[in-house]
Amino acid sequence: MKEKIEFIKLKDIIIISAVIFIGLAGLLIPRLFDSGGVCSITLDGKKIYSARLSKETDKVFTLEEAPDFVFEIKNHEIRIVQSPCHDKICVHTGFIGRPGQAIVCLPNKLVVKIEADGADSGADLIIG
Amino acid sequence: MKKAYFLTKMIISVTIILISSGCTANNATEYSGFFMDSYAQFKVWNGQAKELSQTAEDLDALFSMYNENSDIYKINTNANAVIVHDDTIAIINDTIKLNDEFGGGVDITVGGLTLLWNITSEKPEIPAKEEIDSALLQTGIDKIEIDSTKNTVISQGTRLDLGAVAKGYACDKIKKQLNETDARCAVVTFGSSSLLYGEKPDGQPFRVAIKDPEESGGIIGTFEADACFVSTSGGYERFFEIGGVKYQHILDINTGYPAQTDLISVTVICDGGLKSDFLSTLIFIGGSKGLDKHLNADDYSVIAVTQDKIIYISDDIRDSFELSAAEYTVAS
Repeated sequence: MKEKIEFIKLKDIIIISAVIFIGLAGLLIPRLFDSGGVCSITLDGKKIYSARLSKETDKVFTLEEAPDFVFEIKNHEIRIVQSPCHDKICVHTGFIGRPGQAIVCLPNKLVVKIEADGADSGADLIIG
Repeated sequence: MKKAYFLTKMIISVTIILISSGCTANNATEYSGFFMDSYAQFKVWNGQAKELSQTAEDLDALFSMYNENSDIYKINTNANAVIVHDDTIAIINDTIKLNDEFGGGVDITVGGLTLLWNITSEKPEIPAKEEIDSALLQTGIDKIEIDSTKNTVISQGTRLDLGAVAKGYACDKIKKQLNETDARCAVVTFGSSSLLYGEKPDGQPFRVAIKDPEESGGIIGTFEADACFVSTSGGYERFFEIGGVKYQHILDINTGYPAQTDLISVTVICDGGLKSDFLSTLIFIGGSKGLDKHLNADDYSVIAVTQDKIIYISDDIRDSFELSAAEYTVAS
């Protein structure tokens, strides 16, 4: 009698399901734990601070490399409280916390940036 | 036979693994830096972001009115013909063409006024009326003499300030550069002018958010766009106050004073970088009274926001616009 060949057996379905499950888990788990982006502060391109805002408690702080700046983290958002520049555009920017947002102090080449983790969830570009 | 089935199953499994993990595989490179008086960010898929930033750096070195080695500085400080780079000839010629097509309002001979107002200084002051009048006499794009065959420019007493168009031109040049590479997608932004290049890896349109000029850290709304150039003009924190009066940084060549406009943010989406940069400034200065013809234009789309927090949007992008700030209203 000719052997009946099944293209997909039950075992295969289980294996494929497991593979899909592992794939999806790998995709989704990091996102579950990473709500909110990583905040970085750079001075003339050099990174001088990095923190995950969702894990930071409220605080006001300064950095050794940029001693004339004062930063504040509150409710998982960050702002520049004090800056040595004269136009104070960076101070006026206020709190930021969403991935893609940035505070820029042009005269001092200091940038506070919220970087998106994993796949982009929000806008590809913020203009204005 | 069994081997073949085993192989098929393996292929299916491997494909599933690749699809589920590969979706988020991010082969983009990113780079950022300070060019053209802005914080510029470059992101490119299948390409080198740093190479794009080099183009911005090179153009900045040519176009800056404050850098003594730049073409523009040489043109401004020389009474005779100055031999300049191809890009300098191109940006001036392209701007003159836009002036011819859309009328004055954005004039790159505004440099004398820019220096006079010096609004980025520590304590800006309103210049004397006579000073403004005499600076106005030294403006007018028709005065510039260009010889495209010899690559020379004569300023004829005017002072060039490419601030309103340099970032847009840089976007144009970077697009041409990307066309020569394997890059499939790129997002390049100089803050007020941006290039959205190619198609996103997920095949979705680009999502663009417009900052709220009145609310720090806030967003007015987002819209979707395919590959295009996007420029925004507005006060955007670059204002200064004298005697309790707030002035924003865009000067009106017709009056010699900071533009008096009832618009707070103008975004232009089109197929040219210089064009979008030029038009966003032109429409911003023109105010809401001249808005209708721009909203209905065939070759560009506009999102304009008034002081009264009303948003006017061209029909073709209205459907994808999502309002985020409740205090604004989209005009019907």
